[in-house]
Amino acid sequence: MKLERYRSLLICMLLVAILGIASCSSDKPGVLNVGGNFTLTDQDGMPFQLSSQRGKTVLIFFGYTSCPDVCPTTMSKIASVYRALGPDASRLKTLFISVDTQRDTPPVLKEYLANFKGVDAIGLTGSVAQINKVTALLGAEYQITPISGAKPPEETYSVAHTTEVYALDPEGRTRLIFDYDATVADMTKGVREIL
Amino acid sequence: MRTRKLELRFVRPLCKLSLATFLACLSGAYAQAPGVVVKNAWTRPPLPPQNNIAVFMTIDNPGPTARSVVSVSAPDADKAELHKVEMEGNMMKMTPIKTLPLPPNGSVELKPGSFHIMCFGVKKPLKPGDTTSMVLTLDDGKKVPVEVTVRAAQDRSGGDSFMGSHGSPMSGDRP
Repeated sequence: MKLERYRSLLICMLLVAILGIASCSSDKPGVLNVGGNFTLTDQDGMPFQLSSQRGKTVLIFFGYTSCPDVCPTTMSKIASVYRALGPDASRLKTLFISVDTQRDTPPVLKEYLANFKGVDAIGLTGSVAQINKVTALLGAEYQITPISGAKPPEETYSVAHTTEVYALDPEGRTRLIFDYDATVADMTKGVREIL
Repeated sequence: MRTRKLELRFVRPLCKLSLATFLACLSGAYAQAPGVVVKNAWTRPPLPPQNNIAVFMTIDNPGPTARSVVSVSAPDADKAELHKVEMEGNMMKMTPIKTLPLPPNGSVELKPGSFHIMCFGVKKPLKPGDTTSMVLTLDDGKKVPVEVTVRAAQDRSGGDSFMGSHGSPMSGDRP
């Protein structure tokens, strides 16, 4: 009799544990210890604050418009994420922050981002000090190195930059960081978790 | 007159024999040292306002001798350069390289995130389906013409083109 009572208790505890694990797995990814509000200039030349995007899930990518490879590839993946999200894509905003403050003026950013159909993107630029502040906030890196002997139309300096995409929840907290090899499916799944 | 006919009777077969021997030698030489071959050359359209393209391809060197690409010329661009993309710490960096080594009996793939040919100042509009040409110069002075097909810009996992509905399917840049 006692044994049966214990068995029932054990089964109940097991069920509670299973339910607990199941509910935990559906939780949002944890808040990462990077990020914070920042001010830059948007593609229309207007001041931009990250806090203006509260209520939207935000993807942040650091790049530059002359980038022939990594940036178009990442932006095209983001375009695919928008398509995969369907109607939920209206709750996703993408911030393309240029680390090439010399060449990527607001009009250049605006024209460049218009290439990526379906992506609700804002191009952002600013002074070197402002860009450095934002990269430091998120733990991103970039480096501008002059190329000796190069003359236009060649690139006279090279731009190195981190390739991660930062995903912020609607409260502006960084929840996920996608690396360069993240697939569209990985990114879509992650974004859905924090929409 | 008779002598001339006799001469012709011997000379013609000799000529044919010589020509056949010459051709056989040529084909033999080709079989011993096959040349560098370029396959599947492609690019994406420029993204305005930028006017640059990265060109990707597979370069086979089936011969026993190591070769290298020492320069590239592209008539449809102001300038063409050999480039590589590599990780530097946590950053991805693109830098020009002077030569592209082609190992013997080997193949080098120029692909996104790796080696590519960078064309600056593209002079003509390029849309999916168009072609543009370039010439690779090897270290032995040989020139290899390349026809590059313009493909629709697309993500690496095989999604649709982000350039709208004018693109054609592209598979070359899938991982």
